[in-house]
Amino acid sequence: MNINYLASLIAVIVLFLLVYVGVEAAGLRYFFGVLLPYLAVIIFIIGFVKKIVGWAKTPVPFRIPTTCGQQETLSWIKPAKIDNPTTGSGVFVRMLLEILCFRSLFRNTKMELREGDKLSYEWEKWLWLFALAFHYSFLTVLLRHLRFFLEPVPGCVKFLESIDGFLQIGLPGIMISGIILLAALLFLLLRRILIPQIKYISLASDYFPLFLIIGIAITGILMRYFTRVDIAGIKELTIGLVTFHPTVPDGGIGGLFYVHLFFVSVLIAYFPFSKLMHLGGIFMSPTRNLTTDTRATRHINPWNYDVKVHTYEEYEEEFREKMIGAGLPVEKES
Amino acid sequence: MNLISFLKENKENILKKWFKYVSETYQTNTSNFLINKKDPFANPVGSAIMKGLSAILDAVCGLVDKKELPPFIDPVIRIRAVQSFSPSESIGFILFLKDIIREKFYKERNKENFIKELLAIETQIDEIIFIAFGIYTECREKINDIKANELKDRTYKAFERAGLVDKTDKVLQ
Amino acid sequence: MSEPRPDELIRKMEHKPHQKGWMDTPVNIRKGMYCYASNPKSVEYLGLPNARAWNPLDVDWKLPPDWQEIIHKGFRERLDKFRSFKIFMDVCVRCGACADKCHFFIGTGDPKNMPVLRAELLRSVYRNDFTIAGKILGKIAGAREMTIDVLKEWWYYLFQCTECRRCSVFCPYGIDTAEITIMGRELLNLLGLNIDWIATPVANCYRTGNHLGIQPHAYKDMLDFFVEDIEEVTGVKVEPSFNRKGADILFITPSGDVFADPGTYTAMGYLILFHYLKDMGLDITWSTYASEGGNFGFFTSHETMKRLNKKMYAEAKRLGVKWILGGECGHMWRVINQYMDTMNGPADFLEAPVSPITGTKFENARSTKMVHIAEFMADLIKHKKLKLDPSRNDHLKVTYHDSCNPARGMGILEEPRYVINNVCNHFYEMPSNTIREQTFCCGSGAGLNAGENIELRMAGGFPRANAVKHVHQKYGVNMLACICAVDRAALPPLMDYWVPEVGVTGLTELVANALIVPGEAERTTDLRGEELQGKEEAEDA
Repeated sequence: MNINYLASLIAVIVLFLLVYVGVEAAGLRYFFGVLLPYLAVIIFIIGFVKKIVGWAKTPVPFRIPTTCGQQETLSWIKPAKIDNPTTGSGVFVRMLLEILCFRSLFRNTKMELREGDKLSYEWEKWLWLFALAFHYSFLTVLLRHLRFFLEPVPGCVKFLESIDGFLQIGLPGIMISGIILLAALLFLLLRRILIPQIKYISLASDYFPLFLIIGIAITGILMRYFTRVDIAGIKELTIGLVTFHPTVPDGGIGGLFYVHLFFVSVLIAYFPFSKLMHLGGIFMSPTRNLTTDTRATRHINPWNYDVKVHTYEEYEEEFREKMIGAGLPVEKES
Repeated sequence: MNLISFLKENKENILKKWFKYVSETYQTNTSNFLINKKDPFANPVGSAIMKGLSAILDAVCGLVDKKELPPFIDPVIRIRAVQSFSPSESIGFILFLKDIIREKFYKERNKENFIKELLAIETQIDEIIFIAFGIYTECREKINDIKANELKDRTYKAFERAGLVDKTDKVLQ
Repeated sequence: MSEPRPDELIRKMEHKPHQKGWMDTPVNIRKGMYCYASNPKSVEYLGLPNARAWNPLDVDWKLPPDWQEIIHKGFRERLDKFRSFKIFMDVCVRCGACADKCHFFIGTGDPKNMPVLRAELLRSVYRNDFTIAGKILGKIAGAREMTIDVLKEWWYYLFQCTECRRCSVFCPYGIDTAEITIMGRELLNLLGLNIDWIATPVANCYRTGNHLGIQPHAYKDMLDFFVEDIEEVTGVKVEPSFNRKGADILFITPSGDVFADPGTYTAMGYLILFHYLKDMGLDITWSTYASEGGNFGFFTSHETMKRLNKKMYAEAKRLGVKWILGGECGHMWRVINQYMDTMNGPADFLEAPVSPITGTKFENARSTKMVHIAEFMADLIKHKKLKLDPSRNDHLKVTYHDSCNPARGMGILEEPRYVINNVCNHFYEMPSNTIREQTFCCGSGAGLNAGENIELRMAGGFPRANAVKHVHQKYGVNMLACICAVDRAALPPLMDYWVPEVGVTGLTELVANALIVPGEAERTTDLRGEELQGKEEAEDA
């Protein structure tokens, strides 16, 4: 057993008990249904903005992109316009591929496998695949939830749902994104627990968000497919939240919903203080988001300062005689 | 079935087990990398170990002459010679094969038939240890050689060719 | 005597004891893996803090009493000055993509050489000192206090990183361990914790203009000797000029090329090339003051890097040249390409570089005004300005090692290949995941090519050597070309240990071998004095 994931698991269980008991026994519906979500959003916004502003205010003294392809030099040598971008549009595409396709992670693993002279292939891109699956299914689930915050439900959300639910199995229809989300989460978790290298580098703060999001996904799936919840009541509450006329409908909604909502609240409040901020950081990483035309265009360092240098005069002063002896030109003859 | 044919038939399993033992001489997370990363250029250490063990096993089975062994076991010992292992750890991994074979031996009922063969195999392994010891010593000598001569080879030689040797001391200060 | 029980005959496998978490595994400074401490004289000469004799193996590192305060303040200062550092401290998700990309992890098997953990060594302190979660939750949040053991761990592992940036290629957020190592080493330098292989070259460079501490007359002597040697091989007398005012171009190369084999042959190559181009309009001078292209200050701190680098522009200005041509070097080009103009520019006293022979304007260098010799040569060859006989390199089967900094801090990948293909008939690439932007480090960069850490260098260089061995066995490759002076110093012993039949050469040496210089006698040997006629075995000198 590893203290890091144990601690995270226990933390999530404690959170679960907290809200369940709070709602079911103590009846703190308004607290968990209205106050905490508002608080969480406030913390999120302030924390997120503060962090981004903190990064943005920190200067970029040097232009240090990692060049992953041919530089732009002589006209007849084809430059790697995306991997070694000298123009803003090159950087834009590089960032787009990074953010939307996780390009570097894709590069991470390779497929060629040589044994002797045989060339065979091995699919080694699971991390990339599941990371992609996780982020996109999470995004889809998030967008689907707009249904609870907008009235009437916009067409695009309905359209998204219709794609997501294309597998018409049973009733209610299965939303494929939820299933993928849970599967990807489990993969990412098991990877951390089972692969020794990854386990070795994992901290509690790596497990905690995984358990938390797993909790969110499970409660969501339970509510959708397995238990009866009062959808109308829930929507009344969520619409109330976004229109700043919060109400807590009487009964019906059930403890499970509050668990779901509380986990989400914890997640967004926790977000700005955690590694989840890579969401913002990826846009600002100086090894990726700068052009590589460093010899063509001068980059300015706002805090550049003068330094003590050993000048030529000092140098000649020290070595003048030897220089003259060796026939080297000097500024001052002795 | 005699021991040799047992070895031949179970080569893959034996290698797998042996490789696991060897990789466990590294830290857990490293051993996992050694075992699972298949690309010989991304994981040259794991690949060198595998090739070395395989060749040794072939030699023990009599499929390869022991004289042909050095190029195969050289890389394993060469890397272990610079990986902060003690001398015995650097070459001792070869003896793990003995354990694997003895385990099999003790599981057999018919020990009397096997004992001679076992002794013969163990002698073979001992001889391979000697070869390994030779390689290990050579590696360490090479390391010391490089340590002692690198600067001289690179810089001093250039100065010497230039006839500047008498100034070298001053220059290198 | 009874028959022994089976289990008595089976050795107890001595597996490693149960492994604790990395934070609970104290650092063990091993012989062969660390470099000697900086010489106090060198530290003092540069005016850097806490100059004193100390030994990494001693318990007492003779730190100033308020060292924790110094580190904390230094950390804060760098977080405020470098967005890179701040973001890299915050956003790592420990996905593990970088873990097995580091040549030191692959070679040494030490898990703390996984790039993510190297960075976590600093991040753990960052969390403790600067984040709310770390302050409240402590170890659970991955935070730990800065103790003397942590400091020693920093020192040990930050000097087991060659700042090669291979990990940063694979990181989904572009986290660059080189950047983290650079910051970590800056912090260590605040306490006087440098290694001597860096500190003394830096002091030498500061005083005499080059790492080896070669004084001006000796520098000239050495080049004069090359002149003689060249005459012996080619029958042509070349005439380099030094510190000459009014020349068009200033040439700067690492001093390793002038003073250490086999870089010396590359230096001879430059001389031959410049001589060849002289009549075509090349007007170039060497400098004894700016006689170092390399910059070990880069491995000390940004400030030290700037102090050493400043000489390049200063000398160009003093001599009144139009632009600067740079020789083959790795980190020198990272500094020139990504730092020089920002630190010591603008070089408005220079002109945008134009090749006097081909008229090509090097647009990509129009601000920094410094051109790489491989760019310069590729342009010459493309314009058919060089008369070449590649068969003179027929005794060589060449492969090319992309040096880390030019590959990942610049992207000069095709130029050297183009040149090699024009001057050699036998060129073979190493496997694709070991070259270009994925190239494996020589294992000795960033100031680690000392003698005392040779085990580390041989282990760290193994992935590179392994790929060379592959092409050596498959194609009979016997020469490893590179465009880095540290490579030329570090790869020969690496080859000696792993693939003894392979030599090491600079790019320009190959060019000079093939270059048909007007008025030359028929060549019977290459620059190393190896017979051309026999064409059997070409042993490296």
